[in-house]
Amino acid sequence: MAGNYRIPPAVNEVFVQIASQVCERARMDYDEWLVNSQELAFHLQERWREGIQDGLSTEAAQERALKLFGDLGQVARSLRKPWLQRLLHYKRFQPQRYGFFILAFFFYTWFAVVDTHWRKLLEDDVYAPYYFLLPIDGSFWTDGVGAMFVGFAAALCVVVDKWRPHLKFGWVNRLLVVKSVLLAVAGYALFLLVVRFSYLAAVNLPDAFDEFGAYTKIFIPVCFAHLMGIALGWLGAVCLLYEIWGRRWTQLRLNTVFAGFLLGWFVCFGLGGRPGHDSTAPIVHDTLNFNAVDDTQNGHLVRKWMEQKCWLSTQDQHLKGQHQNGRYVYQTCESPSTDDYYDLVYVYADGTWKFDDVQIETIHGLEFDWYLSVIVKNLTMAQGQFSLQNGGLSGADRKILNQIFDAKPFTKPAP
Amino acid sequence: MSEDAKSRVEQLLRAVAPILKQQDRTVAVPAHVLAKLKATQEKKFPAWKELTAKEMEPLLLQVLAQGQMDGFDLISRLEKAHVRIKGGGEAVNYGVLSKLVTAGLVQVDLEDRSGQMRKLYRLSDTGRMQVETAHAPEFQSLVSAVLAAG
Repeated sequence: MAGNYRIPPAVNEVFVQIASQVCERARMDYDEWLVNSQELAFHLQERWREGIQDGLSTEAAQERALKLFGDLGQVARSLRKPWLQRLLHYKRFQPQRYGFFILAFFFYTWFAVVDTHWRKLLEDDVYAPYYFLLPIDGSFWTDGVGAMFVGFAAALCVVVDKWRPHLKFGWVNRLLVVKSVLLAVAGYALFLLVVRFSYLAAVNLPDAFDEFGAYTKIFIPVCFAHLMGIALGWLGAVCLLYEIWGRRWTQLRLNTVFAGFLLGWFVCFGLGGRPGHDSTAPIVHDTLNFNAVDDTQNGHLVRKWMEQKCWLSTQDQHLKGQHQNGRYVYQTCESPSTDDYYDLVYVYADGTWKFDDVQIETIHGLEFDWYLSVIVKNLTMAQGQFSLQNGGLSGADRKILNQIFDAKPFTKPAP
Repeated sequence: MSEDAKSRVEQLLRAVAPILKQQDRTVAVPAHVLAKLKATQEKKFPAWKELTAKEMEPLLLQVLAQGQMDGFDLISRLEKAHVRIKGGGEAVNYGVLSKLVTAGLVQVDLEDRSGQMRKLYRLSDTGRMQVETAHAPEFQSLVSAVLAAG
């Protein structure tokens, strides 16, 4: 140690500030900040003392100490740890870890929507994209945009699990250990990010290549986007895992996360999932009779609603044609009295053809292009969609819609 | 400082020192300043050995193999032995030490000295094994110089 000169407070303050600046620019964590800044400040102080001992003035000694110390940015860069290490381990980056996870889940959700829809198309299981985007059907919703809420729930569960209250009664604290069970949601979310997303990409991309091999210029960016998405998904999963891991990784938490992971596996791959449809269907040569066929569960709902509301009466319908798409048959109908076009949709299930839905093309010349089951299940959403597709609702349109939603029989409005 | 600059400073000091001594000054130059000036005059400027951060790592390990020391002590020894980081200030050595700590080659003990926490660096078992297995004869003279500087 160079002498025992007392450092003037102003000089010392400069040194301490410089040491703090270096620590800040090195993005140090809270627990290493103090000891590192003290080390750097001590270094500057000692160099200043050496300068004084060499006969320099206070200012000159300070200047020399700073000059020997080096460029702040360079020192900070040398002390800065790699970004991934900082992101995963530092306490100060906890919000960023959650942010990465939520971002990864956001991307996962949209990729999953596109990929699941694509897979349905490949399997001739024709569903409109909004089935995955809107809470119409529970199972589709969890495969689609609903999965985003799983991500939010998982992040929330980890926050709750990390909450360590110190209550007066010890038994209450012990009881609160049970909240680790919430980590099952996190395990489920981790499964979705790590396994399901990669699985969807691995299964769909080769099929897509077979189907649209000619469009390789589109296919390559799609592959690249998927790879980026998978990388981001894994990073988000690792962020959440480190957040769960923390400094305490008890057996209960480990088991719970694993249970959630297994649950995800069974939901996605095991235990049946949705009732399967026949992938092969015979060619239909005759015209299917709406009044003679059985209904699917969806079809039953639609038919019941049509009967109750006396709406889309099949009495005055003119069958314009029938075409088959895999295991779906579409009968295009026209109602001359109301100037409507719609398709009756039949599906081949359980060895027979069943009525499944009505796809409305136009009502009174207004574009609708929606399935009737969607309207039946959620009128408000259908009304919003109708409004969007037709650029707002005029008085006449509203009257028509009210007729639909109030389920009165159609009367053609006066021209 | 380049070799050319060093020699120019040396020449300048040699030229100025006699004038300073002969000058009739109202304020007397302190004796220790004159002594320092004389010492500087007579001193031959040794060439600095500049190492990159990567090259500095084994040197620091070799020095730490001799015993526990704090960062300032270590850096002072390097400076006295005229060893420094290429293109950087001496505080960059703390970054090198930090990397060695992260790699598990060096351990840090904290010591409370008059209210300030001080970091004392020492070799970990892994670091010691690495030093023992590493054969770096080109560093031996440098290590000896650094240790002698202490």
